[in-house]
Amino acid sequence: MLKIALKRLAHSLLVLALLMTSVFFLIRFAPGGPFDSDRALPAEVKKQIEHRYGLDAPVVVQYGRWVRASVQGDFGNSFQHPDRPVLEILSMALPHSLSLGAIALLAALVIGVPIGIYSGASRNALWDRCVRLVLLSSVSLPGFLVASLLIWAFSIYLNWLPPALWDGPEHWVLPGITLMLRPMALITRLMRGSVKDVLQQDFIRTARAKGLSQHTVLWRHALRNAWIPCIGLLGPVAAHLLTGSFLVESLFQIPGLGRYFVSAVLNRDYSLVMGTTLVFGLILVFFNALTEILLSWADPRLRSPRRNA
Amino acid sequence: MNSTGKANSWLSLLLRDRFATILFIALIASLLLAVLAPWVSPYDPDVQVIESRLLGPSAEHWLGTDSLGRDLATRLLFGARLSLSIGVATALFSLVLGTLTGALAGFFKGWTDRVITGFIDFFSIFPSLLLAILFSLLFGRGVFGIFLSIGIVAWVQHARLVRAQVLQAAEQPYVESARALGISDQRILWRHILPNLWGPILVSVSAQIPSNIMAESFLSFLGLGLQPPHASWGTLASEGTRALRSHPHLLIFPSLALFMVLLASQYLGDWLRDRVSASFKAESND
Repeated sequence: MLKIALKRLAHSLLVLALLMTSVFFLIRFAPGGPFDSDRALPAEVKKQIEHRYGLDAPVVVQYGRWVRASVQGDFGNSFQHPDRPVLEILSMALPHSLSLGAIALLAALVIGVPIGIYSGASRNALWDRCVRLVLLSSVSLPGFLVASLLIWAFSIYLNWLPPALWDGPEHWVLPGITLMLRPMALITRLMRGSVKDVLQQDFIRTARAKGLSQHTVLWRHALRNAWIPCIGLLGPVAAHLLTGSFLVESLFQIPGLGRYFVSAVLNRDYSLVMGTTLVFGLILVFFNALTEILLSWADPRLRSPRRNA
Repeated sequence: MNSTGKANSWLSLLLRDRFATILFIALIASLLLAVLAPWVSPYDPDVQVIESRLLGPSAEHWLGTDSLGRDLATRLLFGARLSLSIGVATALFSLVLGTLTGALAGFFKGWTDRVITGFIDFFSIFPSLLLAILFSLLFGRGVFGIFLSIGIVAWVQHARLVRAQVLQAAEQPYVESARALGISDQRILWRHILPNLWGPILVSVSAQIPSNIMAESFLSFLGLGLQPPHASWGTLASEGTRALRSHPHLLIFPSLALFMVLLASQYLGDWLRDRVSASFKAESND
């Protein structure tokens, strides 16, 4: 177990380093720079600014500097907010994004898992058809339509909930619902399929043949195995929450990482793009490693091919 | 069975499912409307008529007008051309690049496989939208830049599928007998293995169309995709949110168009997947 974890850690660090290096060079070679505004700056002013941010050095030298600084935890100052260190922005934004993500994930689980189990176990064709249709629609619904309809209905028309910002529980509802939909659809679909599959297996038939009640078969025998494939959802769900946060935080004006990332990309704020990408990379690589470790823990067959033999 | 016969029998299968038929017709209709946009649309998409700004739906303007007095229905039709063609073009890009690399990796193994799978693994850790946004920094926000940004991320998933399929197919008896007959590797791969995999390849590529259309509209909506002189469904919806309070139709109609097309193509994609896996099972049982 420890060996697997250490190996995963090394792999994760490598992937992360690769990501950051690619992004570093990608943005340096991209056309346009952070200080190209509509109004052309005088050449010497621009030169001075670029010198201050070290943008006039060769790219490889810039890269070396960036690696040295960021290993020491210094990500420089943001280009659009000149007096704010990237680290300070990140540490202020991260809690907002994490709480938004946690709320959406929790809601998705609380709603998605029971519906998935029920529709996997029930033989009601009409219910199954309805669930499939709802799942399909929620995957096809553009997030901006959902968010806008919610704002229109609950903030503008009914005036029940605030349309923006992130100050308290009443601010959590609309962004949470918008962000929850896709993960919920994923969870429900997988749970439904998984329960269906497990219920057709031989050991379930044996359990039924022993005369166990439907309830015991489902809760004691089927679900114990049915949830294992759901571990594989960790990665995709994290990915959906992350990219969903770009849209949700921008629309609801939540000062989280997603919104900072979008505005940093729009304004070519290199240091902030690097900072936010690093945090996203850490989160994704973490979930990826966690998935693999959990899977090998839940299903011993995946641990090592030697033990199978 | 020859291929036209196959297509006909699939079509008759499709027509037996009423919901699928409706969606199929809707999808074909929106494709036709997109292609024929310059001829069927009642107005010019870019002509601004100041007197008719921000009108609601009416007999003259079926879906109303936008803040510059342009006819929304016309702009939606022209937007369909951009949104749908980016969806289809990126899927074709995947078809070519993904099939090629996936097939090479699965068939030749060794270092070819290691390089390509390394690439695939790296890409699949990160969400495609995040990568597409980062790539759009390099490629720019023009039509071609957005096409490249989405395409370069999307082909990886297809390559992974083709690799797995080829890896499996290479173990089949027909490949072994082809080898025994002295047929070259190249010929076995392109003439024997890949033609046998058309079903899964078709399913995987068609499944990319809705997600790529969604990706384009997502990027454009955030301002990270196509820019306003270009009207895609994403940019139209993005313009629509600005007048949400007073003129919700500007957001609702583009989003609904997007929703309908995504729903139809998702449903038909799933339908195709179920049929293909069923027919492949039937063939291997014969």
